[in-house]
Amino acid sequence: MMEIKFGWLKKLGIYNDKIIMITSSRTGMFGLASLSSIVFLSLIVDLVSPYNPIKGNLAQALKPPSLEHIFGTDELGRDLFTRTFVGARTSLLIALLGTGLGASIGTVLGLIAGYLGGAVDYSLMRVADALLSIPSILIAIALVAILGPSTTNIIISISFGLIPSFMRLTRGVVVQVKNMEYIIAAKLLGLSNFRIMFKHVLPNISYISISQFTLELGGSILMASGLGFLGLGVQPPYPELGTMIGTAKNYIGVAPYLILFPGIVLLLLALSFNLLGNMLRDIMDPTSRVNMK
Amino acid sequence: MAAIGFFGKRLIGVAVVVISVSIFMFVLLRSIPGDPARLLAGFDAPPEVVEQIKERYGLNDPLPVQLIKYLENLFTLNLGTSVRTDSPVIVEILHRLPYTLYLSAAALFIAVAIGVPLGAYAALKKDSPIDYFVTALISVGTAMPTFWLGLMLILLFSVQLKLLPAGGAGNPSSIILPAITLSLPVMAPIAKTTRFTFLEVLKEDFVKLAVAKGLRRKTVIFKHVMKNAMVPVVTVLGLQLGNLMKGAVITETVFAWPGIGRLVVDSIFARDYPMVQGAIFVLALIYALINLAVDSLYAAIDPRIRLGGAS
Amino acid sequence: MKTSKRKSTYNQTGFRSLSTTSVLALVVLVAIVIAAALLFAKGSPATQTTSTQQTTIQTTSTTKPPSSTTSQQTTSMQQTTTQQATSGKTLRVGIGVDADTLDPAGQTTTTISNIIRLIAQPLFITSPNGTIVPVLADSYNVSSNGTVYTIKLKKGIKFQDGEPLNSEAVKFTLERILDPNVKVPSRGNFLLIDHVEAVDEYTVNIYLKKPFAPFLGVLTSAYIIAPNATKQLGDKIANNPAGIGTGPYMFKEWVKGDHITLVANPNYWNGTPYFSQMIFKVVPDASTREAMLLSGDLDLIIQPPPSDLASLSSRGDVKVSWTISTREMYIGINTQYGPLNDTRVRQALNYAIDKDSLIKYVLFGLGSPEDSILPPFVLGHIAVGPYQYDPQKAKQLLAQAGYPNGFSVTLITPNGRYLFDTQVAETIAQYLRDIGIQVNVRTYDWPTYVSTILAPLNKTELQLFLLGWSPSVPDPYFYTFQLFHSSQFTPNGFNNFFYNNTEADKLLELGATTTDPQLRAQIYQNLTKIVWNDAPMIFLYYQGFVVAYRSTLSNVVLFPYEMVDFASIRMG
Repeated sequence: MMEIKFGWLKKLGIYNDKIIMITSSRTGMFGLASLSSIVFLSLIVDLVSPYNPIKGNLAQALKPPSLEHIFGTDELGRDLFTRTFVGARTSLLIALLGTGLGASIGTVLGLIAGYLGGAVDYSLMRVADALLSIPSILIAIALVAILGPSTTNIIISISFGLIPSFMRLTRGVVVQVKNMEYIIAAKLLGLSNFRIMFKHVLPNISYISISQFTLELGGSILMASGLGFLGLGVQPPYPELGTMIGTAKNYIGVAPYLILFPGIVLLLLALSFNLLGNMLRDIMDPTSRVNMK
Repeated sequence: MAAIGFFGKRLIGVAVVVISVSIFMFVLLRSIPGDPARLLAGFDAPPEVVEQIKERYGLNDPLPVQLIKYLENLFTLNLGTSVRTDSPVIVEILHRLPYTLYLSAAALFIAVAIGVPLGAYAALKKDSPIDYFVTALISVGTAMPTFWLGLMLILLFSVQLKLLPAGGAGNPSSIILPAITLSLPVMAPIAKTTRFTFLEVLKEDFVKLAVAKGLRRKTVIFKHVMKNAMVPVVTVLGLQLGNLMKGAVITETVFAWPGIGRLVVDSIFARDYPMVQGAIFVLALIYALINLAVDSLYAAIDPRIRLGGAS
Repeated sequence: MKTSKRKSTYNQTGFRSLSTTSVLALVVLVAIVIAAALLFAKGSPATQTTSTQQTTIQTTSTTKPPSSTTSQQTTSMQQTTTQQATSGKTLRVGIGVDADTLDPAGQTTTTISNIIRLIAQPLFITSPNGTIVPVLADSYNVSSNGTVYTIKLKKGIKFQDGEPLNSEAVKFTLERILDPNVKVPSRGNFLLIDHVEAVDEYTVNIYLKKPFAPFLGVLTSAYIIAPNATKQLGDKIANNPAGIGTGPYMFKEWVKGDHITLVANPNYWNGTPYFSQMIFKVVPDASTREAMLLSGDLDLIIQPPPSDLASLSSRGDVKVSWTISTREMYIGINTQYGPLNDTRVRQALNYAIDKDSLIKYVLFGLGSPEDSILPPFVLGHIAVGPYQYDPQKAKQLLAQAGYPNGFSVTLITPNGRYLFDTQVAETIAQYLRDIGIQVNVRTYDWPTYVSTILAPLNKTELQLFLLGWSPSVPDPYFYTFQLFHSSQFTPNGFNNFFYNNTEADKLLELGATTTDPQLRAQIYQNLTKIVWNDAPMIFLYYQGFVVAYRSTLSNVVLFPYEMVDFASIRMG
């Protein structure tokens, strides 16, 4: 059955296990499709839309969805469709960079803690415990308040909340990996700790960080929009989904569509990342690969 | 005994975590621009009034002195006086905490009451439309922006249907919408785990044997499968208790629920340092104690966890 | 048996043998949380009814003076007999903020002051048309040098705890406001008091350090409280201000975050109060307040969602009432920053904004264009504006000033502090972009914003900033001196325009000391013309203060300083 289904891929020469797994995961495919359409729309929306996402026409404020404005217009008379997808772009950018930063720092710290062990490990992990025991949204609120709301600072705040979970994850794997023969061999060869950590250990555990990264993207996008909802989002006039929904709350009686559409896009984005993340985990994690076969 | 050693070690861990959280939050808060005394007096107040307020709350002392004072007081469980309300922080927190616990309990109840049967049913009807529906629901539940869900529920049940109050805690029915909102992100992992473990247990020989022995399907499910599938569900439940606390911050803000989550957010926005510090201290303590309780429960259930329980 | 046989499969987790324990554990976990919640749940919704009843009995029995204890403490049947003169009706009001404290001296918001005014009364109040009228005072006299205020009190008034209102009570109240050990955020206004003297039972002399014309206005925010009741309460006054005032309503209970309840004062000195009970429900979300009004759970709500005003007004069962308030909204201009230093540029900014459209579309009509530096109702108000919307003229002025292609500027705004603040800022940015100025909008949370706008001249980053000015005392002095006098550059005062005009300075000093109302009005009218022309701000609008109520209510009177005269309302 598989043979028939993927025959054409085989002819193209790109047929292999992974592609079968990608394409046979229906939910993963859904995630990929919905993510790529949102990304595509958000990239071309400026070119396609006849409306300016920033400049509005007050006389056109709060018009319900129509053929002219398929999502309606917001409180300052700006086209909601245009703003939603420009906003999605902002949210995506924040989530990608924020998660990337958090994942990198967390992975490196986890690597150090796991590999070196001892007091370094103990103190680093207690810091991680401490950070994990404060709701991360509160740390983010405090950080944005310190640094001032701007795209860069929101990225930093989001990354901060992700560091401990990546630390824990990486450390857990490193502890197992560091006793494997090849690492011990590398030590016997007299290679420096630094070199072993980054050249030998890191590549062998990165699959975990990568699937975790995709899974956390969904969480980051929710966190970023949560900050926006609380009024600590990116600066106007640039739209961002959470800020848009937070503002729309003031108009819930007259213009419910202002909440509806950005929210659906936000939900789809988070959903897509989760589905993709699950798929990637299945593919990259060798143990689950065995299970699948 | 070994159990005491384990427990004692973990207790020290809790103390270390809670104290470092306190110091971390102290430093974080003092770095934020904004002056509680100025906010209280109003931006048009003369400087001498602002100075008096600062003096009153010890905000003029050098920061290290303030930190030491704060930590000293912490050991006697004196969390200080709120700059905004001028009442002891602990009183304010004890007033708000029940609301959060009540909301969390309600959300947890909904999550378990719906999540477990849903996951179990989906597993029993694997690959049926119901299973797909539940699986989709789980995915959507995990990806749902809490504040958006809350607003949509308000829109539907309060604004359109005018059935339920949209916020506050004054009415017995006020709890319904926030509890549903808060329960969904918890329900999803519970349903997911239930479905997964059910599927695993259903594959087991003893279940097949039970069926082969001619036991009624219902009996098999309730007597054998349910019992065996519950341990991982409890695990997830323990983990989710902490997440409930986090979800409460946003949910309470959306629904104007007078719990501790909203108290912290409001206090950050008012730069009420003692209040934020106190509330975070209590939150971290609860979180650490829940973790400790969950872990201890496992240690009590399964001695092997104690051995490998270092990480 | 079966368990041991299967153990190998479950090696890692050991699920099998633990099934019963685990179900138990689940039940225990849930039970612990619920039990903890119930244990703590004093006043939480689960136990609302019972705890409310308990509180009622407690507060009345512990704090009421002997005379009224008997009537209040006993059963509801007796309560109705003592209050038979009231209508027996309850007024339920939806408010947006909860109190921080109920100490009359600790107030910071108009909403809560509005409630406090029902419990405790000042010597004077500002009437809806802006004049100062006596309440507890009978008459007053100012010495010729303006430093001694002699106030005669009305006779025969008793506090709710039975103490007589006399000069000692007034002295006690004012001295308590000045006591650094008491938290009084608005103390600044009272610091000019040198000392207070009780001349006889009903005469008080207040000595000022220097003449201060708006002092009578300042006294409107000093709620006279009973010395004995206050001393007995100590710190408890913040949560339980029972028996302390002379007002028509007495404090009954405050369930924090939920409601404040007042009951009629059967011994009120000025007629029997109409409502037997007033409940102020704290409902922070405007849409929720609206829903509760429509469902009949509330009788009156403060500040319904402005976007719904049109639909509310069209209903038969609800009425909407609004007034121009004493809150001025403006875009402050740092007059010492680059291009903004030029008066023509600042005037250009004023001509560039279409205030009418802004009010119509962004504020849903809830405002009125600013035509002066003083709101209507305030002494000395004279209409000199508004600057009419004229983008062409704005461009010309910019060109004359040497900026034909505009310049770049940052406009900062708080987020969520004022009605539609970020929307207003974005709209203004748009209008300014239309005349060629590149505007950057930045939002801040309120505490950061306050720090930013209070920075001294050499550190300030201010260029343009959105602000609302609504002094607690609606006297022209408080609308002008701190804002425009050159000695008041931040952080000393609130002149963060860094506006410096010697002629204006002279008038401001004169206005602070001239007690004759006619002369004062003249001074402030002259000042208005100067400041208006210098345009240290973009004059925007006087914000509206709006309430919505069920049509069964009548005689709903609004004070322009964002208060409602609850005592005058009638029902049915």
